[in-house]
Amino acid sequence: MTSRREAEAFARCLTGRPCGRERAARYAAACTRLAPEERLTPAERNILRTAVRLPWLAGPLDAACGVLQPAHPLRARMFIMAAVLEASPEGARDFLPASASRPALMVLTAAGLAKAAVKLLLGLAVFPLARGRWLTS
Amino acid sequence: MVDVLIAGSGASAVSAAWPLAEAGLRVLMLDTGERDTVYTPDVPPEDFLSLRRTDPEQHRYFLGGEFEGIPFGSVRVGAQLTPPRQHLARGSDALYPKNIEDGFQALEATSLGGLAAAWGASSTPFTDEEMDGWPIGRRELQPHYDAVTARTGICGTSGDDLAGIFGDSPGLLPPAHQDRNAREVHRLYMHRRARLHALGFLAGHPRLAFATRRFRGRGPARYLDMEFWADKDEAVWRPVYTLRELERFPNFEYREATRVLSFEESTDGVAVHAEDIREKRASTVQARHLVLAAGALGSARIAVESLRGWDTPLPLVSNPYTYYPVIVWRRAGRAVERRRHSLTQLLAYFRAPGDDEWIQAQFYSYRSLLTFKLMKESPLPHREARELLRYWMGSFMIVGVHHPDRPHEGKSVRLGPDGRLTISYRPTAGEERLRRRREQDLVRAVRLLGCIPVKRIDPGHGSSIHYAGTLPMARKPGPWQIGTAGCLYGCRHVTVADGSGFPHLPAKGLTFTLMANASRIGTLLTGRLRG
Ligand SMILES: Cc1cc2nc3c(=O)[nH]c(=O)nc-3n(C[C@H](O)[C@H](O)[C@H](O)COP(=O)(O)OP(=O)(O)OC[C@H]3O[C@@H](n4cnc5c(N)ncnc54)[C@H](O)[C@@H]3O)c2cc1C
Repeated sequence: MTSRREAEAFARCLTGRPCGRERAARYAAACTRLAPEERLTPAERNILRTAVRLPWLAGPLDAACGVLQPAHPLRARMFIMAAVLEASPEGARDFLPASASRPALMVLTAAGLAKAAVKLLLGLAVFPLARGRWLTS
Repeated sequence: MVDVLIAGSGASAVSAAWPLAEAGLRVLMLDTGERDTVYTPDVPPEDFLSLRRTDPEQHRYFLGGEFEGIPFGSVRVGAQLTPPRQHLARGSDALYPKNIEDGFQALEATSLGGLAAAWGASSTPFTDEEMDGWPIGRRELQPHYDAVTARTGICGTSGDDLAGIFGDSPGLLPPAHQDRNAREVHRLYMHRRARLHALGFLAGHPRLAFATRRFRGRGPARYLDMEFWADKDEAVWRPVYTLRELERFPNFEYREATRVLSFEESTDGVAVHAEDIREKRASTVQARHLVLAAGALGSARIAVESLRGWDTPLPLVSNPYTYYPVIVWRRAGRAVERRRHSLTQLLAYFRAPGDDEWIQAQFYSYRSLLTFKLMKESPLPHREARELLRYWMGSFMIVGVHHPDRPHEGKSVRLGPDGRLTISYRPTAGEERLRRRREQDLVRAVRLLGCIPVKRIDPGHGSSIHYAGTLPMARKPGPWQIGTAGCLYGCRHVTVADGSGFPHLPAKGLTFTLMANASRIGTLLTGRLRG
C-alpha cells in the first residue's frame, strides 16, 4: 500500500502543493491497480523510498529515471499522481493551458529546461546511491 | 420468418437497414450491443474548461473507476478511447479471440453502434481515381453519398481547395467553426498557397458528420470540446441515432445481447444461428435474407465459420497511420478558446509531383485528452514537463497521417476451427520506404504552414482502426469474394454490406463510403426481395 507521505511528496514535487486526503487516497488506489508495490525490485523500491524520505531528491531522481529508465516505477507513479492531480478542479490551475507573451514564454522555457538539466545532473549523481539504499538506510 | 436479418448495428448495418425498413420489409437487427451505462450519465452537459474548473467528480469519467483512463506504455491503437468510450470493445477478447502476428492491433467492436460509437466523424467520399480497380465507381455511389448525407448531416464546404478531392457534394451543412490554431494554419496556407500547391499540398475545411445546425432532432453543435468523452449535444453522428429513427418503423426490430455465429442456406432462405451472450442460450432465426454488417473482421468470421473455410487466408487492408505532434509557432503562448470541437480542425491532402496516390493529414488541436498524457511522451522531469506544456499546449496540434493500403499475401486474416482469428500484417519493405518518403515530403509542407514537428509517433499496424478487404468485391466473384451487389460467392441469400468488400483503401476515412455502399447494397436488396 502506498503511503500518504508518498502521495504528498509527489504532489509537492509536481505542483509545489499538497494533494489532500481525497486525492491521496485516489492516488493509492490507482497505484494498487497500475503500479503495485509487489512488482517492485529491491533497487526500484529503494529509489522510491529515497524520493519519499528525501523529497528534495524526488525531482532529480525523476529526471534521472526519465533518461536512464523511462519505465521506472518512480516515473510511473509520478505519472499517476499527475493524472490524479489533473482530474480535479484544484488541478485546473496547474494543468490547463496558460498564456504568456512571446518573451515571457522564451524565458519560462529556458528556465524550465535549465531546471530540468540541473535536476538531471543531480539525479544522475545520486541515482546509483539511491538504488543501493545508501540514502535511506 | 423475417425478410432480412442484419448482423451488427454499426455504421454499415444501419445504412443497409434504412432502405429495407423504409420499403416495409420486416427487418431484424441482431447485435452484441454493449452500451456505456456507467460514465455517460456522470458527464455534465458542460464545456471542457467549465468541467475541469468546477466538477469535483470529474475523475470518475476522466480517469475511470478502474483508472483505465491512465494509459501506460507507448501510444497504441485507440489512444483516443476514453473511459466512457471503452465499452466499445467490452468483452471482445472473449467473444472474438485473436492471435496477433506482426503486432497488428485490431479493435473488434461489441457495442451498440460499433466502432462509430467513438469515431472521429471524418466523412470523406472516394473519387473514381481512388476506387481504381473496384468493380463499382463514384456513379453508383453518388446517390447513396447523398442519401447518407441527408440522414447523418455532413458539414463542410464545396468552396475550397479540397472540392476536387471530394467531388460533387450536395446538401452539406455549414462547415464547423475552426479554432484559433486551425485558423492560423489555414491563413498561412492561403498566404503560401502557390508554393504549397507546387509541392502537391492542398488543405481546407474537413468534412465531418457533425450537426453544425439543428438536424433531424440532433445538435446544433455546442462546441463543448467533449467529443472524445460524451455526446451531450448529439452533434457528432452516431449509428444509434439512425437506429433510433429505424425503430420508429413498425417493421423494424433491434435485438441486443445476441451474437450471430453462423448461417445455413436453404432453397427459400437462410437459417441464422445465434447466441444470447448473457444467458449463453442458442437460437436460430429464419430469414429470407441475411446481411452481414459485423465489421470487416466480424463478417469474415461469420462467413468462414458458416462455409467451413477454416484456415483459409483472406486479405486484409488497413490504412497505415502516424501522428506528428506539432507546435503552431505563431500561436505559441497564446490563449485558447473555451468553445471549440475536438474533431479534425483542418484537413489536407498531399501528393508529391510524380506520385500517383494522395496521403491525408488531419490537424487536431490537443486539449481535452488531458495534459498528463503528453507528459509521458517527454523525457523531462514531470514538474518541468507540466510547466512547459501548460504554456506550449495552446499551440499544440496533432497531425494524423493516413496512407493508402493495398492487399498482398503478407496481410491476411485466418479463422481457425477453434474460433481464433490469426491476423498477419507485414507490409513490404517497399511499402515502408514509400510511407517514410511520403511523410518526409509531407513534413516539409507542414513546416511551410508554420508548424514545427516535435516527434513522430507510429502507434503500430492497425492503429487507424480502418479495416477492410476481407471479402473483396469483384465483378465476377470467386471463392471468398462478393459480387457488386454484395452477394457472397456460393450463396443466394447472404449479402455482405460492410468494408469487407472494399478491395483496397485510399488514404481517407472509409466510413462515409462504407455507409454509402451499404445503402446501395440495401437498396439493391430491397428491389430483389420485393421482386
Ligand atoms: C476512435 C475511432 C475513431 C475513428 N474515426 C474515424 C473517422 O474519423 N472517419 C472514418 O471514416 N472512420 C473512423 N473510424 C473507423 C470507423 O468507426 C469504422 O470504419 C466504422 O465504424 C465501421 O463500421 P461497420 O459498421 O462496418 O463495423 P463496426 O463498427 O465494427 O460494427 C460492427 C457491428 O457488428 C457487431 N457485431 C460484430 N460481430 C457480431 C456478431 N458475430 N454478431 C452480432 N453482432 C456482431 C458489433 O457489435 C457492431 O455493432 C474510427 C474508429 C474509431 C474506433
